[in-house]
Amino acid sequence: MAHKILTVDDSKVVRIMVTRALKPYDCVIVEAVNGAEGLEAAAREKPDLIILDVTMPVMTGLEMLTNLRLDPALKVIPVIMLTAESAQENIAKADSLGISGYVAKPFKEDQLVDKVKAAIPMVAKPAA
Amino acid sequence: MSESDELVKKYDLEPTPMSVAKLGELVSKRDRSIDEIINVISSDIALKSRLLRAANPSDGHLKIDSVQEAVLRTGVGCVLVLAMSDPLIKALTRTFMTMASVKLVPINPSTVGSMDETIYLGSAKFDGKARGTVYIRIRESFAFEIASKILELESPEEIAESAADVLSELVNMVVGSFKSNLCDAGLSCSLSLPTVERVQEFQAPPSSGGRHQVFAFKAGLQPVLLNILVDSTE
Repeated sequence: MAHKILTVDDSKVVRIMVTRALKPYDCVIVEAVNGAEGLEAAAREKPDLIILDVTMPVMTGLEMLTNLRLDPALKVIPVIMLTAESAQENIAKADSLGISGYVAKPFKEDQLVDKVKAAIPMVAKPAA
Repeated sequence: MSESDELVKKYDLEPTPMSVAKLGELVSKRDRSIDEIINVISSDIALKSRLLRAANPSDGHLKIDSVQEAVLRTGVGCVLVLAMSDPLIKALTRTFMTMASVKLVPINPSTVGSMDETIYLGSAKFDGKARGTVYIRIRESFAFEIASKILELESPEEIAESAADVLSELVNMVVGSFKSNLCDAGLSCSLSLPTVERVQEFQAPPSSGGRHQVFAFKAGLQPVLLNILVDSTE
């Protein structure tokens, strides 16, 4: 069964890159543009993995992660941070909330795929 | 192993660059004696050279050749801007290389004439213990080239529609990384969301008591201009 991956980023460019990076794999991508929409999408879609930016309008990625970990139904979802926000204070906070990986922007798509594969088993799409 | 080292190892992060450690050292010595600041600058050849350039007139005739005199002439604020510009330049060159496989080669800003076409001007403000604005300027044709490369687009309409979004994300990456460096150096601050405008010309806004530096690069034949404007925090 295809994995469901939620990408939460206010940048359309990054969401396109994430979708393209994961295209060869058997997964469904769901998108959200800020932490508040991300939380709603997580509750609705129950994704197998969340790829989360930090600096976003409305609700930041760290606020979303905090709320996610407080929700008994969502707290076990693995999260990979994908962000230009690499201050150690923020990484330490994300680490204390529980994350499965961290990818600093600027990023190569391969780097992201490696982290996703380390978090959940990914299977290549069957040949058409 | 420190908590910081553990995070670096656990998440495969890049260790804090030397330039950031140097910036932190300068900040921590900011309220101390001028001699300590001079010692930090004197031990960093690149920073020393940039400071002497900033302290001297642009006619190329070097009149000030001691760090002490340069610091007294330009002020500690200028030293901080110059120290800050190092991680900013690294963030810019890394972002263009990683995202678009474009190598930026530093050039003298005075050799960049008119941009000759519409400019894509990306900017973002940082505010907190350090305050200022970063501007990145590229030609429209280069903005289109990068958008096409990063998003693998071919249709001219799609490229034109996406160019501002792509530059906005590049600015976000450059300034986000720079802001993180400032935070790690003890200058905690927040970032505005990046903006991108199409303009015909650019004049950095005046900053009361602040400092302004411009850096230029070439990507093939395309110029890339980086301005950092730091407001006075003293």
